[in-house]
Amino acid sequence: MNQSVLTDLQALICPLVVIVLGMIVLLLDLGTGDGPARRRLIYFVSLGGLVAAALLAVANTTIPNAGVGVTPLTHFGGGMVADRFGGLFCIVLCIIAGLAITMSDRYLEEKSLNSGEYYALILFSTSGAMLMALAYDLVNIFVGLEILSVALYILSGFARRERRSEESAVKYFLLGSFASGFLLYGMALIYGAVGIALKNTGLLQPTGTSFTNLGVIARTIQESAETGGAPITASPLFIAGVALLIVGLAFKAAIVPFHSYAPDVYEGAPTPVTAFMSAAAKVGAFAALIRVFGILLPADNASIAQAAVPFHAVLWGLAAATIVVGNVLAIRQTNIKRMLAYSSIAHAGYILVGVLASSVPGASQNAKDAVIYYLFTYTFMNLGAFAMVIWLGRDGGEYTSIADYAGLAKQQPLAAAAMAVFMLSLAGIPPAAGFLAKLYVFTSAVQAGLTGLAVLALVVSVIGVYYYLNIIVAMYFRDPVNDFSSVRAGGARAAALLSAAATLLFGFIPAGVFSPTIQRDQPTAQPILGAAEKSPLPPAVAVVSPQP
Amino acid sequence: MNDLWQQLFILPTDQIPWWAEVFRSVIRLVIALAGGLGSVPILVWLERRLLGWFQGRLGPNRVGPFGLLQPLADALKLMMKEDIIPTNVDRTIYVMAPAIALFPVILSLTVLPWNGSREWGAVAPNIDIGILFLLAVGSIEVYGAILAGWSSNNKYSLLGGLRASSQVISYELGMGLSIVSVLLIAGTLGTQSLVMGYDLSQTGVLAPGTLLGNGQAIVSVASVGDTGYTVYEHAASSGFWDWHFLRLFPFGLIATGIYMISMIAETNRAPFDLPEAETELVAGFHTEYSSFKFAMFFMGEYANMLIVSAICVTLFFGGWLAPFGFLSQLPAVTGLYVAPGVVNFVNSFVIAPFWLFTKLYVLIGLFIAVRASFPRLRYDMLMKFGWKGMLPVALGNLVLIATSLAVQQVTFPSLGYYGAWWAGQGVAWGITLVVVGILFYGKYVQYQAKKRVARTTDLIAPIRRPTVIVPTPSAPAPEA
Amino acid sequence: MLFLLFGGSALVTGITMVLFPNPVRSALFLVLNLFCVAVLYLLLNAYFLATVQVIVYAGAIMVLFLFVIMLLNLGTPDRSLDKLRWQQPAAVGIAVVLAALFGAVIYQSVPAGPPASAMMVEAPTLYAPRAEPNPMLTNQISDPNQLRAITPDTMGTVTGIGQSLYNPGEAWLFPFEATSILLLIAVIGSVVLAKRRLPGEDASAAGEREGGTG
Repeated sequence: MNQSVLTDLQALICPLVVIVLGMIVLLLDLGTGDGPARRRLIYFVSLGGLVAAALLAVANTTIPNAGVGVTPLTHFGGGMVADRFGGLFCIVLCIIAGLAITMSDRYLEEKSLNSGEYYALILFSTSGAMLMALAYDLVNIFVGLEILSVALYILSGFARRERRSEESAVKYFLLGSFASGFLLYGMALIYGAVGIALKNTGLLQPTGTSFTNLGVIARTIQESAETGGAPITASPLFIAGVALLIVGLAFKAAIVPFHSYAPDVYEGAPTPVTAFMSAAAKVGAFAALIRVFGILLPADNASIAQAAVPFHAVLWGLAAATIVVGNVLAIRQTNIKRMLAYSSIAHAGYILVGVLASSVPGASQNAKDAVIYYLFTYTFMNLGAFAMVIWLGRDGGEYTSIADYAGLAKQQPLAAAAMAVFMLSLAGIPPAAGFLAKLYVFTSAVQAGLTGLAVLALVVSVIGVYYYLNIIVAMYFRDPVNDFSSVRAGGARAAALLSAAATLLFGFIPAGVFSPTIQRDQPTAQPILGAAEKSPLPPAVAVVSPQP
Repeated sequence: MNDLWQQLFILPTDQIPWWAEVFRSVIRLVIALAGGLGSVPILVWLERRLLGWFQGRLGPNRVGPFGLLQPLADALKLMMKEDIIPTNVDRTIYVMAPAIALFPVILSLTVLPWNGSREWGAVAPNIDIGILFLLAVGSIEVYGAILAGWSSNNKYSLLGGLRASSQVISYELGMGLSIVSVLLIAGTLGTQSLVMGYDLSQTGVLAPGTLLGNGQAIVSVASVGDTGYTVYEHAASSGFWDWHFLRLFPFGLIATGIYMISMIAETNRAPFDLPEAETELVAGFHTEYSSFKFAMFFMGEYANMLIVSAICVTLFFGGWLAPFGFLSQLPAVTGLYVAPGVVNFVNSFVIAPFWLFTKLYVLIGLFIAVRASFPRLRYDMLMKFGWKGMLPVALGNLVLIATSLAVQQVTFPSLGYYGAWWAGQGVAWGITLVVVGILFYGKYVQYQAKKRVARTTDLIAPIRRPTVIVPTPSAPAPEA
Repeated sequence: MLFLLFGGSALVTGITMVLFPNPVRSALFLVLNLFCVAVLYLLLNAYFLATVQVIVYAGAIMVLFLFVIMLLNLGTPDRSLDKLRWQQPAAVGIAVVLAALFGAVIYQSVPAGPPASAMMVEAPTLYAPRAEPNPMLTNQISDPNQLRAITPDTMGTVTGIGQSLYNPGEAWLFPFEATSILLLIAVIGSVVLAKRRLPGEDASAAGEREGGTG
């Protein structure tokens, strides 16, 4: 064990803590006696460990972001990078896992699924998404993605006695592994393209250089453009590789037209798992998308920008299609889990707008921050909405039809209020955090010159208000059809109320660490955390001047 | 003439034309086939005689002296028989299966060494992944049984094939782990290097006094150059205590034990002969086979026995080396002139194979003794033993060996060779004692708990659960 | 020559594997295909990869495949039950288009001049023995004694692969270790999904499940 390995391990402390936590949970499950006391122990150990991991990840947020022009501080032979971007994603993921675990206690008990493996799988899955966010090598992105998805495949089939759950697992597994195949093939093509380019430019590479390392790829792109001729981003092999990469990652983020699995899988999986995967898989996939496209399609050189144009067009189209399809199909849903599935597809579209903006040089930093902020708020509102579904269920079942929620406000005013907060936030209506998130993303899109897309997203998101308000209308203005006097509550209530509070709070005060620092000029690193702690930022609305 | 002789037999590989290389390969192949497949009839005879002896009867003793020609008669009989291909079999696969069963066995012969020569030690002596090759070939041996079982279109055959595949897969794990253990100890993947304890493929001459992987020092360096007989210079000082089964005691021995158990399972022999259990499955996967195709299965099984024994000898029992180093070569008799070439020839083609085959036949005798002594396992017992017994032990053993070696490596410069050995072994023994202690304690606690449960259930009526009546303190007891 | 032979047979066995309706035949062709690929690895001097390919794929995974196929006694599927008849020709058409697309891409990308075989021989010249830590990646281990260079001699051998897999300064240590987590998850998953009864479940529930799905 030498010093540099220790440094490397220290930089990746957050995912490592989560992985070790998963193993501890497994051992606790094995080593201690059976019974409710053990379940509680595992439950609280996982939550405590996640809090610790999130706190440890805060240290990463002071490290400058890796990107073109910034020499990243890499670890493990250049394969991993622990920067602000990755650190923030790790914190978001810890929150997601924490909320998902919090809301699952009674649900699991009622369905008699409460075993240590559930918690371990959630934790491992989280660590996979974290590895994706911290990866600086396509290989590591792939391994992280597989850790994330394999755990999710299993989790979505965790309710083994239910056919829907089994169907969901099989569907997700088959399509997911197919998408992984695309991703891997894309990486192989990029590997080949970079290798050929390095050979053609006559650059002698040190042995052991990974052609999938993002730093190596970035330098290859630069040098192939500078040494004259077309950059490798224009070579067919590279283009094919990037296209396949987009397919693979877009599948995980449920972007149209790779979304068709999402509603079925979300509907069939156990609800806490649905909540977890609707957020964690997206966060991981978007982290990788931003990281990869920040490197693969930089636009600061004219010839490279030229080569990147088709990809921007493709991402533009994907984002537009995702927003439109997600919102329009959500209108017709009567099942709340399916509705939330389509809504999460729509949100993936909004986030993709931010991702697209982040690959434009001038707006890059703002857009990245906007995306992180969006994912952060999305975590609370989306997991909160799913927590509501669990909260209001009982006896191992749930009210999954939207009509079931009629008259909720008369019986459970607190629950109805929380649900209303989530719906308003998802719709992007001002007091809730969802509004600010949308505002930031659309602003950065306009900054990046994507005015058309921003306007489209804005218009379509107004359509989306319809189906969110539908639920509020049902809750407040219809007569009750179901008896909500005895509900599950428990951890789900805690998770829902916590999320509701956070959604409201961050609607008024943008969170310290996550607040997009739009007024900042340099994309270089500043001790953002320290700055935020010392001087609270002015209200965000005042900061944002260019409004669409 | 002399040139031709030199080219065909003496010069090192890189100094000869391609046709001489081809010639040498053919010669080596012939030697290997003669040694490997030629042993099969002897094995058959040995097994039948020994079984007879174990069971208090005579065994075949009519054909030839001591019945030695019996296998020949059997072979003739099998070839004369009608070759039946049942109507409803999957013809192509049915015909291919016996060949597939025999083929990997012959392939394994290519890397098994019979002496330490770089040019003449094995069919492919310089291949640096010899052990991996053996593992690879060993892992495809099972196809013969599976395909035969499936293509026969017979329930018994199919069950035999299924059993064969699951059994071989299960026991391959323990086997692979024990092989990895010995690879860790030896630090090389080549079969010859493994036996000799240093990497034969390394170029350059090792200086006298160099410490080798197996703990011996090189005594003197002979003139290498011609055929690479450096081996015997250090082998002379070694003995059975340097063979891998005694290295890192007792971990080498445990690995040896695991290998020997799984090799019996791999060859589908009693007590692990479930794929062809005659009381349950008629004859298992080869029920439908007759005549020459059956003979091929038969031959494959015996050749496979020989191969796994040879691997075992190579890995754990010092290959062709003699139990005492001085027995490995012709004694240097002072004053008597023998040409060095003749000495070398006798050393590597008479004495080395002699020891190899002696060890081989001892092992095969063991095989037969096991068959005669143990009853067949039940199928679930077999699986349980493989997965819950052998695999954990093999894994733990591997980890301990790795620990011991790692500690040795770290402490080597400061503590010296023997100090490092004791340090590494001390740590490994310590861990072993602690783990075994915990396991025993756990068992003991379980046993006690079981005893207690047994005692309580004796006391209470079996149907009703004990109800505890708690007296309410607030209610005043009525005065009587 | 050998490349053409084994590359060709890999292609042929791959195609026959897909085309054969009988699952056992398909599986056997897959085994053959894996062997051909192993030979291709051998031709590229990647001995370790070749043997591992045979041990893991042909020796373990495919045996399990066959085991499962035989255990379920799968026959040739009945085509009349296929509801989406148009799917098959459509799939073939799309596959052909995709193959043509990729073929064009790869054809365009391979630089003209030396044929593929010549490139293969030349490839090792791309690698120079590493004298100092990889300058392209900062924050490398700066102790050169720790890094044993992968030279053309050790490339593809067990030594070379071991040194690049287990060296903290190389890019491959981390994915290698992370893969072990992946395998752990897979093990947990198979236990969770296949176990008869989980600790939380009562016996009747498990029976219900078996009755319900069987």
